[in-house]
Amino acid sequence: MSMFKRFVEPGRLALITYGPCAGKLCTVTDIVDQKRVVVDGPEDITGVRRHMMPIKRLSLTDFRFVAKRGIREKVLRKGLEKSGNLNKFWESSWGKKLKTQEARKNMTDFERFKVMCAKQKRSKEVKKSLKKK
Amino acid sequence: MGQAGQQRSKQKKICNKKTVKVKKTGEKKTPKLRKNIQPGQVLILLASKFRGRRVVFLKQLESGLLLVTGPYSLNGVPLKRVNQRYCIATSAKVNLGGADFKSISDTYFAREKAKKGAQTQEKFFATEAPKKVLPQEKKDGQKKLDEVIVKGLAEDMKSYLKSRFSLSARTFPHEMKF
Repeated sequence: MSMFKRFVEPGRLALITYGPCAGKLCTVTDIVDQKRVVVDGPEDITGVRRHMMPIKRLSLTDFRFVAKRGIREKVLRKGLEKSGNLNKFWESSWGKKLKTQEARKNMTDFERFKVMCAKQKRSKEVKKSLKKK
Repeated sequence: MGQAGQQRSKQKKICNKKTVKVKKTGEKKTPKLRKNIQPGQVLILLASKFRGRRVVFLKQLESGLLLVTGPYSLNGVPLKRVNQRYCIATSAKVNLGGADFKSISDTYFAREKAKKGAQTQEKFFATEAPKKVLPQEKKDGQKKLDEVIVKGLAEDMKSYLKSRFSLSARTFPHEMKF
């Protein structure tokens, strides 16, 4: 019974949590040593250039595709496309949570007002139905 | 020591006869309007009696102040001049629908000069100052202007302009998008 499910391995999709690329997805393509990996979200897809990164800055996801060490861009792209990992991530609950956080952060004042009205409406309905009971 | 210094400076004045360019005292440039403020933009007022109200921006006056209206029927803010620095510009925009405010300028807001009439004893000892009432024509002008604007507003925009802006817990203005 293995306790670990997410491993640092080539082909593993990860979210960068710190540094200039914070908040972006990337794929582990090679392993340097116990603490560092080489990472690449192909730059035009996720905006992460191929570079070395300490593992500490990564949050591993559930998604991977089978890859050998040191895969280069062509193989990386093919793997990502075939596995559809990026879409799978954004459809997972983690991905959805990130998206709603971003949407909330980018709300304009008018949108915030509309959300407040909607919340008030909803709570009114809830209270009404509770009162009926 | 002091006297010598004075003498020296005096001498300097006599020697340096520079022609100084005389600045025209009346010339003032209209301060720049922030890029994100357009006619019809909804602004949030940050100071004065109407702080927190959301108002519609009409145009920038020559003095650099912004001409703004509630509309009065929605939130009680009349035609008003506001300093740019005391507003937050939101991204919400309202269609002004050809409202006519071309004739309104800084002179509309000038104080009525009190007539230098007889400083009679009664006036001097008057306990109640004469009440300053807004002339009916200004009220009518306000109504006319607002009618056009309010006609073109959607329901949610109307309630948006009626509501007030405020900060609550864990809302930080530098992190908010307007």
